[in-house]
Amino acid sequence: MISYVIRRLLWSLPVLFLIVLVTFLLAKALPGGPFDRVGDKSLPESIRVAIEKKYNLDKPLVTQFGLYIRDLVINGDLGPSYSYRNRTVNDLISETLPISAQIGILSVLLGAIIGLPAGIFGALRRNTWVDYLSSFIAVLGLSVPNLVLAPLLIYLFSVKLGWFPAARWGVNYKELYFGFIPPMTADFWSHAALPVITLGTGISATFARLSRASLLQTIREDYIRTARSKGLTQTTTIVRHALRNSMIPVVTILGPLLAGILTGTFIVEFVFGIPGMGDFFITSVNNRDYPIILGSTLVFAIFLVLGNIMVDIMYAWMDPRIRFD
Amino acid sequence: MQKKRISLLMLFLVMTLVMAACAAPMAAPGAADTSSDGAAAVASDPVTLDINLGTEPPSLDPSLGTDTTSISVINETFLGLTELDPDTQKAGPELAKDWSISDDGLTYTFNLRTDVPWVQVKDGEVVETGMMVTAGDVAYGLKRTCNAETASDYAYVLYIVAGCEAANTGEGSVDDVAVNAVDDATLEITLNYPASFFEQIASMWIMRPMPQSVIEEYGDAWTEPENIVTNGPFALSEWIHGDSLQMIRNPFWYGWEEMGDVVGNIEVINGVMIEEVSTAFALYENNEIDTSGVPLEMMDLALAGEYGDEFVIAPSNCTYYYGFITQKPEVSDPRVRRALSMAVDRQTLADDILKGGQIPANTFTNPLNFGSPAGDPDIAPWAMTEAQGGTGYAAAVEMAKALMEEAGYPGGAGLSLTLAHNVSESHATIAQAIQAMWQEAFPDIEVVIETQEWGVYLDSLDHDAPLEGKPDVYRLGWCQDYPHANNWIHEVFNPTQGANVPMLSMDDPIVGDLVKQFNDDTIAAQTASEDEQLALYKDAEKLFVDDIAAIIPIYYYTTVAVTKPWVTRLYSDDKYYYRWSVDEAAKEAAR
Repeated sequence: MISYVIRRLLWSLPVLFLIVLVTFLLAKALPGGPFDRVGDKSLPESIRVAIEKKYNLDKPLVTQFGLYIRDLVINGDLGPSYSYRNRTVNDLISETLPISAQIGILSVLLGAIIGLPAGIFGALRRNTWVDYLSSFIAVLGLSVPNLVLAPLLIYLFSVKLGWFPAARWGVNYKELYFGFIPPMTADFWSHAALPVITLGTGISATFARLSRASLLQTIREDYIRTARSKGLTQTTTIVRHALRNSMIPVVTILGPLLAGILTGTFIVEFVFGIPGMGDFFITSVNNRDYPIILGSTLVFAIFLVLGNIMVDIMYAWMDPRIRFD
Repeated sequence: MQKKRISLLMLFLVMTLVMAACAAPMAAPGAADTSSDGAAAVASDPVTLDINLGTEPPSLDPSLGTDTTSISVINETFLGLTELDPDTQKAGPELAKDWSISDDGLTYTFNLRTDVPWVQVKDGEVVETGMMVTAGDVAYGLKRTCNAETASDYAYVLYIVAGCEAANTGEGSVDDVAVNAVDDATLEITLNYPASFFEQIASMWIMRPMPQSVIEEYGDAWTEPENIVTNGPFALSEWIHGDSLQMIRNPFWYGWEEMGDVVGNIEVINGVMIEEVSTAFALYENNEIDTSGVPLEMMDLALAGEYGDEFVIAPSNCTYYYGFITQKPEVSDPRVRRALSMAVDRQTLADDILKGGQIPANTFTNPLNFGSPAGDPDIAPWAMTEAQGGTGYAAAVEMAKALMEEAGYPGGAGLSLTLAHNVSESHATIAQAIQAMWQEAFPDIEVVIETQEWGVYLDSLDHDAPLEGKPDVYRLGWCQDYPHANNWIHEVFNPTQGANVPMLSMDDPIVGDLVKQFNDDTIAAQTASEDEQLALYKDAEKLFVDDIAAIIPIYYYTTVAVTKPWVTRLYSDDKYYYRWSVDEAAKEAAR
């Protein structure tokens, strides 16, 4: 198993390199540059030339890419930001990623806590009111966009009822332990409530639908019939034999889902004014802030690769037929 | 299973740590308890203003700030040589007590105050660093902005200072920029040409005094609160990037004593960074911030008086306009351009679509600038309502129809236009409204709207971009750098020295002579007396928006805000927070 993981990690290096290369080329292929304009104004040619020189943008593409890779490999340096002129991409990511990851982890946990039982009971009580209710809620959760849900929750639970703060995140990057663990204060939880519910409902809906469909399929398998025919109770059959196997599709989406959600979700961060990574990801493209585009794509790619390795490991644990050695 | 999953999630977090060279945990400095004059410390809570900055300031470095958020903080923390009067926009003294101009109009000699210390925040309190602000600090700041290595976006405004352009383009040395600290209290600046608006440029953030020793010691990180030293009414005490920023009163600033009733009573300014206006408005309703913008969905309620005196619409120094690429055959005839401009119902656009009290525009230069002939009925009277002294829309449409027929497009027949704007909901709404207005006035006209992402859009408008890729009509806006017509009609549209996106040419077969006259007008205005300037700018605007009709001025911007009754404030574009006051008792009671 360990050699498998090491092999996979080594293999991911060329993949990551390719991702960086392609992103670099795509970003450069976009018309317009980072220093063409200020706000609504275009900048005089001489100014653009002076600024581009400072950031080596006057050099050939090959040289630019070479310099980027050199700094990245030797120093782990993701370069300066073009739109936040006194900051580096390393600073920006180390400040925003932990916040995004906190929202992401809490939302996935909430999604699992609500979604999995809903899906499982829906499947076990198929075509009863339990099933209809859980399906209805799942469809609702999937179809109400966060852009609608978030302001609604703010209006209801903050402005009208005053239960939770309307916006912002309960801790900032300076207060985190080891740079990423938040202190579990009441302030933290009260600020987390609305954004996590917003994001968690969609995730729980996904989980509910997947686990329901998968469990329905699993309980029709031969080995379940065998288990039942040898006299096992319903509970034992489901818990020991069906559930574990039926979770494979859920785990499959967990990898990409985590990568996407830990690196920031633009809408929720935007509406709640949370200083996470999602905002940078989106605005950097508009700003042609190449180092942020590359840096955030790289972080996303690393999460995706790791997520997929984690999924493969969990496959082996869940399905005894899968072995990597 | 849950346990294992959590441990795997923790693995992810460890990767986070490895990836992002983690920041060591630091204790956030607590809310500062400042006293107004350093003598009698007040035990109660400091007088606090809570605002929404809207976004993370991209840079608090005076040489690098380009956006209103950054500049609003820089304005409170660094003093200018001059300061603009919030009402008249005229330059008055700030760091410079007074100044004189040489007979040839080229050399400015500023006499500086000697009682302004550099301060910093230590343990939540503003302390003096032992250094005083000198003429050398201003000279250093100006040269630093011109220096190509600083890579300042706004350096071009200082090209008026002799030697700055050469230093910025690398053709000359920074040492040759014509700014000279004669002694600690005397600064000499020499210009390339005489220009009355230089006093206003001298108020801009890009030529503030800057602390050389601190900048050299900390490099890019010099603007962090633990490093920065400043000299303005407030000092930066905390900056949580992307989340919030705090400034506290600098008790060593002379103005608190000297300026009497002009200054306010605020001791702490807390600024959060919420981009979404609806969210900021929710914070306002929860009394968490003292002032906020108003989201579009609340505008009807606000206009109906729901928020009473809290709701204010104030003019803002920006103009929204459509321009013509005059070399495109469809719009090469000035009669077509004028007819299209006449057929825009600006008042209806403001009242029914924009809903923010925007003011119909008959000039490019916004009325808040010196030299603006805005509202003068000699210029494009058809753009103004009868109440404004213009012809009103009904008469304008009749003139437009006649002109269009004269130009060979009766009812718009045979005319097919592309109208381009960058992607944005509000630009799209305006474009659709104007498309409908044109189609109503000229039933046979064909107008196609194109939208492009901002970077792509600007690229397509570039001078070097192929003509066939350009639209006939484009959307842009302009906001002041300094409040003078030169920053508008000359810098943006002068055909030989400005950006000139309409591609006006003195060789134009129809309006070439007018373009030449326009060109001469705005150049002559740079060195003319104040009265002559007014006449020249009026002539230039008339030529540009009426006779040549190179653009369609649409509206002058406004800012819309709600402010809690316990705040006394100014509504100008620049904030002047040091002049605001908060009735802390009333604020506490409401919370």
